[in-house]
Amino acid sequence: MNKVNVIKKILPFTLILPSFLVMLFLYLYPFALSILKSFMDDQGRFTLKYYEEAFSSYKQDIFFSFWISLLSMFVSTFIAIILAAYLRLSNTPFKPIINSIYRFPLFIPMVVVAQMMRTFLAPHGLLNLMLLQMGLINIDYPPWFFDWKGMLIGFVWKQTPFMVLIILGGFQMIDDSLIEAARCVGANIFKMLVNIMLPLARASIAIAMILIFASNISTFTLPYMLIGGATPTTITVDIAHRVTYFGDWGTANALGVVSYLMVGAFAIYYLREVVRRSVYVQE
Amino acid sequence: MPPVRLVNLTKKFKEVTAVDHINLEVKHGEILTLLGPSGCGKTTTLRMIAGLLIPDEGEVYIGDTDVTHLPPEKRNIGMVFQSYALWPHMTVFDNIAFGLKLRKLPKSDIRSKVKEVLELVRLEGFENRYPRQLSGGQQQRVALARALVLEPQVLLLDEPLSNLDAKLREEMRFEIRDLQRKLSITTIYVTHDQAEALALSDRIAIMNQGKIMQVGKPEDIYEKPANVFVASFIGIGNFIEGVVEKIDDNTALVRTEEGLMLKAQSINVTKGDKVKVLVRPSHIRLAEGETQDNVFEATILKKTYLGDEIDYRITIGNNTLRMILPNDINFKVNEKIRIWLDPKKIMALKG
Amino acid sequence: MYRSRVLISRSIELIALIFLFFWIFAPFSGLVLWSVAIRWYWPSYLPQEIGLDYWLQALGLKKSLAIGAVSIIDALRTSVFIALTVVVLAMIISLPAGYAFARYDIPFKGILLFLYLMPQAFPQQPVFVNLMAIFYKLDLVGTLQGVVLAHLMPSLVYAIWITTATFKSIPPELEEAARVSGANPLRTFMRVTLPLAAPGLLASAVFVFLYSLDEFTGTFFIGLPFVITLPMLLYSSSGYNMQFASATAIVLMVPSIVFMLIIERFLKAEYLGGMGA
Repeated sequence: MNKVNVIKKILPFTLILPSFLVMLFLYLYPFALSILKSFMDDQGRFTLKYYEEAFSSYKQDIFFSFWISLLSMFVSTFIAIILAAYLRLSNTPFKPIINSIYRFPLFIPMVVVAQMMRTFLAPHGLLNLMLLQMGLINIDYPPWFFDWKGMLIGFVWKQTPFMVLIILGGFQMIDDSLIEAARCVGANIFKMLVNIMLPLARASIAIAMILIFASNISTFTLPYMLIGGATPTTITVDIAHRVTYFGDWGTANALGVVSYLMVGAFAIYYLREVVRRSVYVQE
Repeated sequence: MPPVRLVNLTKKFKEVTAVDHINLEVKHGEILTLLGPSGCGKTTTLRMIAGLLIPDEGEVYIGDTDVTHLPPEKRNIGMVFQSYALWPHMTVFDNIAFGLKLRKLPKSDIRSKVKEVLELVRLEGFENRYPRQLSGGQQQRVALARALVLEPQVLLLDEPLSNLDAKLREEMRFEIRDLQRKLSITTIYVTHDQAEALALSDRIAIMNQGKIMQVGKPEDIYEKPANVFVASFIGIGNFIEGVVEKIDDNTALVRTEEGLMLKAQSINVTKGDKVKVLVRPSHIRLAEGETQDNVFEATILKKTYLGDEIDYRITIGNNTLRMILPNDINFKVNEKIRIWLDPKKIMALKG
Repeated sequence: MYRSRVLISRSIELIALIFLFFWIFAPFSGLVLWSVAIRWYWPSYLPQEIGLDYWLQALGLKKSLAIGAVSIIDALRTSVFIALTVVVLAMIISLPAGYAFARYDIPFKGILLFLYLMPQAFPQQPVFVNLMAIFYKLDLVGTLQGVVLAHLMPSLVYAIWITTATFKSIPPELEEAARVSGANPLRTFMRVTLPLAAPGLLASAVFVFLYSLDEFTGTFFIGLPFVITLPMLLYSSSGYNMQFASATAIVLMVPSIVFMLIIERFLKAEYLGGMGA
């Protein structure tokens, strides 16, 4: 009797154990190391020198990582809200076409996006060719996109559809009658979006923003292939250089922790905003 | 100038014609109810008047303006939805004030108008509550207040009482009617509940399969239905089938299959027509005195005790009819009785 | 008046549609053009000379000018091998785990499920960098095994979350009915639960497969310089051979596009609406 009960009790844990072990050794352990090693020198003593190094040598890049991720996220959010509102409210024959096209970037891996952007944004790339044909640029001095401009375009291209998906989900939870009622009291599409749809989809929008900001700041592939070692670059490129060329795990981890803090702070701030003003859309 | 006029209004959804070339004029200050079974087109019609749907053919006039292609935010209408559609993230005050804010009224005006309309629907003091804190009936009154505060030309109500329990529904019926009388606002009401329609309408338009079957005052529709559909949809109707043998002014002589002869009222019926004679329970009486027209032998088939009344199923020839009598006489099943069908009341109707 | 209003708004929509079309497909067309460009000099709008030369080089059918260049076929083989191994391991691990999360009341379930999400939600690269240091000591850097493990860890979120949802969607009554008819738990699982869960499990496997195929950061730190997956090939050739890199990029896109066309019907925004709640 007792044996069966014991087996019954530990069975769920045994089923989960392998996955937990994988996460423990392959994620939690290196994750903990990344934090610990940023504070420990070669002899194992507590030190802040790596953080001093990180902030003195890479202050510009830390700032760059932060603001390009933030800016790209806001641009994506703006476009995504408009696109999601359109998909929610429109029923013209164009809508199904737009509905299928906008999703395309979702299925393209980041490394392919990076390569796309390299060909598209190169000095003699397709974008500059088009700008040249339109007479907007000088043939001898085509603009340089392998910097924040390229990152912005790459991020917005890749991330916006995902935000549309999440925000559209939020919009679709809003019952039609709430939208119709607003129109019946005199609201045009814009007033309705701002006063009714956005407040009611607040949670979805916040989640989308947090996810995309975190994703932008964490990305290694795009900045590495687009900007590489040029200045300014992202924290992720700096971490790679620090490790590969200097063997300096301390500073690299310090930079890593800085990125953790940026993501964590942002997530906490936004989630608090949402929870504080949360609304029960369904009864 | 009628406040609302529908001309040849038509709406098709794929293969189905939901609203089929209807024409209707609403009178100033009246409550006109669109009544009919699900799918008859009443809600579709209402939504076209509101501007939430664009008709395929025909026009909608509000006042003297052709609003057919005007979006709802440009029509001066007030709409109450079946689900109330109160914005959950706004207080009662904000819900009502939203339309006023859009019109850029000064704050003090907004405050006084909201207060006024909340008094009208008897919800004073509820300004700072949220919809989720209100009962169904209270939410409904806020929805009404929100529509009325804008002083619209027309008030549209889409089955506003369907989500309430029976008792509340009856109470709210009278509240809505009293409110409407007080404000004299032209109102179009949609429902599938015929008791509701009879209780609060000035006129009823009965719809079926996208067409208007009949428009008239409740008593006219009840007593003089235009066809069998209207007769069976409103009130309890018994039907005896037969063929018209003779017409005399408005009176028809109808012969049934078994050879019974009925004298009935008729409109637009000619000799030889196949008709169904409408017999309401109130038209069936116990026969008294000497033989007259429309006296028949009947057998009690079933009876149901209803308290003050008894509901009998009786057979006359091959026909089964429902008869309701006060409970002072108690017939037994299989008892044979003589009943009289009032020829001035029963109606011969075409299909 | 109304008709002109409609005409204007439809025209705006059409312009927006065209702009969207260019925005989405222009970068892609750049890839295609580059992969077939033998010579393309600025400022010509199209390549002066096109041909399949670079495609043939990339596919290993023609000798490449670059020394030591790995062909797409070899890299593809490596990528697929790794991806399939990751799928098998991930499914072995997450089938029981997903079932446990779906059926049993596990303490700290939310925290555990969030744990699997962390590699994707939080910055991933510092973790890989430190994992690389750990793998150095274990001689796993530059090995297939190392890369498989590096892919396995972040893919668990797809494997476990989807299998959990799949098993949850199967009513426990169906299993109970089998048990009552005399089947032991294992038999019930194999004959009743598994077949019903098959579509969801398949979806989960596809997600893991695509994730591993496309993975860059982990492979970069742990796989190089010996394990050359398609993303690694793409990255290394991008520096010196645009045509080769573009061809590789197109090959890398194909599995995802195929999956997109299949899942187009199922990836509806309604399901993701729950994310906001």
